[in-house]
Amino acid sequence: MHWQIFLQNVFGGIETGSLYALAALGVVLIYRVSDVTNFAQGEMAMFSTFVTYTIWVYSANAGFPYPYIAAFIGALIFSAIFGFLIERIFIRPTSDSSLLGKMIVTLGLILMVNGSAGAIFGTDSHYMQRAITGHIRFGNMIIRPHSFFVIGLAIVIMLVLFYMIKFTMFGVAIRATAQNDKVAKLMGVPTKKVTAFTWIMATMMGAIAGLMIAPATNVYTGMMADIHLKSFIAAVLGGFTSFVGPVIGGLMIGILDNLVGYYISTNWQTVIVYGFLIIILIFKPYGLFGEIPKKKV
Amino acid sequence: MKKLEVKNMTKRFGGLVAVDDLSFKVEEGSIFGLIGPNGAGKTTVFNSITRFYNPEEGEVILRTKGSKIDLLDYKTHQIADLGLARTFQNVELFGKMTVLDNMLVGAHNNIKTNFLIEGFRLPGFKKKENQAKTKAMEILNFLGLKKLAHQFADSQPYGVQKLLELGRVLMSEPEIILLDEPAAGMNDSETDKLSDLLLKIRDEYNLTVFLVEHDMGLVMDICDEIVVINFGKSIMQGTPKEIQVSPEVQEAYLGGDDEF
Amino acid sequence: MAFFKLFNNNPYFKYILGSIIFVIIVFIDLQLGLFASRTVNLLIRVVYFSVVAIGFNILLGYAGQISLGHAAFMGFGAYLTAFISNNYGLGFLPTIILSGLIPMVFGVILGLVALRLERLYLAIATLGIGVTIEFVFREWVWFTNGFSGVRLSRPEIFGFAFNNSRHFLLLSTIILFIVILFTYNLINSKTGRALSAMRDSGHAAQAMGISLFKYKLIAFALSAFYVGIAGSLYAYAERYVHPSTWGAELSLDMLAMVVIGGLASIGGSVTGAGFLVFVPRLVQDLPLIGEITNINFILTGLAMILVIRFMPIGIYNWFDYKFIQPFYIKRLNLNKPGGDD
Repeated sequence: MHWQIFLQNVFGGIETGSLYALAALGVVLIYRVSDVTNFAQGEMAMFSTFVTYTIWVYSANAGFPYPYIAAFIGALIFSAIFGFLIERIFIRPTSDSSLLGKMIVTLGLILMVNGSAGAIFGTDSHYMQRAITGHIRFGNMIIRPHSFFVIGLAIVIMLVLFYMIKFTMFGVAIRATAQNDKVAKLMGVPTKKVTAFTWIMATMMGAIAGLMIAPATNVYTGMMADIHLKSFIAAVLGGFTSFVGPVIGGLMIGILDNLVGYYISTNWQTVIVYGFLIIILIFKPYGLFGEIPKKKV
Repeated sequence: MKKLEVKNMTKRFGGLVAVDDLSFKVEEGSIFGLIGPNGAGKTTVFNSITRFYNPEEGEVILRTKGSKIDLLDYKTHQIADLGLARTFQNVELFGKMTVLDNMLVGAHNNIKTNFLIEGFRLPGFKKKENQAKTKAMEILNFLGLKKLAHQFADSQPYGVQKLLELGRVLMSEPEIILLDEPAAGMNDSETDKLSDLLLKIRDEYNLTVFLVEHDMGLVMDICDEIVVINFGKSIMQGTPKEIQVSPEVQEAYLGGDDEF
Repeated sequence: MAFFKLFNNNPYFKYILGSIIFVIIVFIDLQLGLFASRTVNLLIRVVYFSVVAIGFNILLGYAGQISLGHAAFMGFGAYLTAFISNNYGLGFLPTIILSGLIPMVFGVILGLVALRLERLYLAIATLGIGVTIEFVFREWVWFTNGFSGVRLSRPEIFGFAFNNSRHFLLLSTIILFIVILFTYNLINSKTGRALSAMRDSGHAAQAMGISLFKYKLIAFALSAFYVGIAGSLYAYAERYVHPSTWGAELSLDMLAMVVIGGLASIGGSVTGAGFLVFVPRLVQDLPLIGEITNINFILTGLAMILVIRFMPIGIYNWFDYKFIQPFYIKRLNLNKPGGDD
C-alpha cells in the first residue's frame, strides 16, 4: 500500500522534525535574547545525553525500578546546571565582543565540549533505551509508541514555551530583551538574568532532543552532528527572527529528509536536503518567516 | 549651468511616502543646502541620489564631462566614478584601517591596477600607488591631519573622523560632493572653522557642494541657495535671505516643533 | 640603526627576511639533517596549513566574510592533485596550479551564494555546503575512489623527484614564501584595501566606488585558490587522500588558526598554523595531561575562547605590539605605530 508507506515516512519525518524544531527553538531563543549563535548547542546536547545515559545505566544496575525516569529527571537537572555554567563562564565575559567574536566563542565550545565528552565518556558508541518500547501495527504501517511520546513531548514543551513567551511577565522580559537589550535594561528588565535563564532553557531543550534521538543514533560523541546541523537549517529556513518559523522549518526538514531518503536516494539524501535549503536561501535570504532587517544608511 | 537636477522624485517605504514628487536644481560651483525639520526626508533624498535607495519615480540628472546622465541608471558603486561622492550622517570610516589607507580607498577608481600587477609588483605599480599616496598626503596636510596618517581611523576623536571622511571624499576627485550633516556634533567655533573649510574646499578643488544640515547658522552663512523640504515635499527654493523671511518655512519648522 | 629603520618603514622586509631565514634553515637541514624526521613531517604540516590559514584569513580577516565549509576546497584540491597526477601524469607545477584554479571556480560559485546572505545565514549555508561536498567525496567513487581513498606518488619537477621529505619541505617552504609575498603585496594595494573597506563599512565602500559584488567574489575566489593549493601540498605530502579528512572539524581548525594567530595578519596566519600543529604534539608528550583523549580538541577550543576574550588581535599581533614594535620604536625614537599588514 503506497499511501501507507508514504504516511509512515511523513510520520517518521514529523517525529525527527519535532526534535529538529525543539533544538532549533533553543538556538533561536538564545540568538534573539543575547545575539549569540550557539553553534555548540548540539555538542552540549550530546554531553547531556551522555550524562543521562550514565545515570540510566547506573540506576538500572543499582536495581532502581524506573531507571528511565531517573535518567530523564537527571537530564533536566544536569542540563539546567550545564547551561547556566556555560553562560556564566564562557558567554557572559565575552558579551562585549563583536558578533563574529561571539560566534567564534561558541565554535570554540564545540571543540571543547566534544573533546571533553571524549575524554570523560570515551569514544565508544552505546545503546540507549526508548521511552516506551515495542511497536504497533496499522496494516502495513509500523509505528512505535515512542514516536507518539516524542511528538507529544515536543508539542507540550513548545506550547509551554509559547505560553510563557506570550502571556507571562518573564515572556515580556524575554521579548523586551530580544527587541532591544539596552532599552530593556534601562526599563528595569534584569537582562542578565533573562539571558542566563534563556541559556538554561535552551540547554534543557537540547538535552531532551538528544535523549529522544539517542535510541535511533546511539550515544556517542558524534551523535548530534547531523541533527544539530539540520536543526540549524530548520532555524535558517524558518528565519531567526521568528519563534514559529523554526518549528515549521524543523517539520519541513524532517519530512523532506524522510521522503527524499525513501523515494529518491538514501545516499544523496543529505545533499538534496541542503540543496533545497540553499535554493530557498537564494530567494529568501532571511528564511521563510524571517524579517528583513531595514537597510540603514 | 546646472550641475545636478532632481526631477519629480518619489520614494515610498510601504505606505509611507518619504520623498514626494520632489524637484530642485543645484547650480555648478555653488554651495547648495537641503534643510527641513526632523524626519522631513533629507537623508532619504541623499540615499536616493547616491543609489542606496531606489526611488519609484523621477530622474536625477547629473551633468558630467559635458554630457547629461540619469543617476538612476547606475548602481551604487558606479556613482563615485561619475564624479559624485558623499559622506554619511553617522560617520562611516574604515575603522580598522589607517587614516592613510582610508584616504587611499577614496582613490579606488583612480588607481588602475589589477591583482596580478599588485601581487607581483609588476612595472607600473609603484608609480600609480605613489601618485595616490602623494595626493593623499597633500589632502591630509590641507586638512591638518598629516601627522595622523599612520594611526587607526577608529582611534581618532570625532572631529578628526569627520574631517577624514571629508578628505576621503576629496580623494575620489569629485565634481560634486554630498555632505550629510557635516556640522553634527560640533560646537560653535568648530562649526565656524568648518564653514571656512567648506568654502576653501569649494574654491581649491573647484567643485559643487551639496549639503544636508541641521545647523541653520552654517547653512545661512555659506549656502548660495537652499531648498526646504517637509514631509518629503519641497516647500520652497531660494537664497538664504528669501528663506529666512518666508512664512511657509517658519510654519514648517514651528509646526514641526523644531527650533529655527 | 639602519637595520631597525628598514624594519619599521617597510614591514615587507620583515616577511622577506623571515621567509629567507626559514628557507635557509630548511636548506641547512637538508644538508645536515638537523631535525628528526618526525619534526620534518610536522613542519610540512605547518607549511601547508599556513597556506590554508593565509587563504582563509583573506576571506575572514580582511574581507570579513565567514565560511564554515572551506575544508571542502582543501579536499577538492587534494583530490584533484591525486586525480591529475595519477591519470594524466602532469608535473608538480601544472598540477598544483590546476588544483588551485578549479576550486577557485567553485569559490566564485560559493561567493555568488554568499552575496545574498549575511553573517549567521552565511555561516550556516557554508556549513551545509561543506557537509554536502564532503558527502560528494564519499559517494563520487570515480573521482575519489570512495572510502578506499587515493594514493599518489611524490612530486617531480623537471625530472627531479622529491623522494625525501626534507626535499619536499624545502619545496613547499618556497611555495609558502611566494604565497606570503604575493599576499602581502596584494593586501597592501588597491585590492586588499577594497576588501578591508568592505569589511569595515559596506556602505562607505560602495560610496567610494567599490563593487561589493566584485570584491566578495574576489575574496571567495582567492581563498578557495589558496586553500586548493594547500590541499595539493597536502596530497603530495601525505601521498594519501581519504574522504573523512574534509569535514566540519577541519573547517573549524581553519577558523581556529586564523583566530588564534591573528585576524587580518599574515604573520598571524603562520603562527596559528604552527600553534595548531605543534601545541597538541607538545601536550601529548606531557605526563598526565597528555594521556587525556582528545586533549587537542579541548586545547584548541579553549585557546580560541581565551584569545577572543583576552587578546582579540591574536597571539602574533599581541606579541608584535607588546614586544617587537616597542623594541625598535624605542631604538629609533619614533612615535609611529607601524601598521602591520
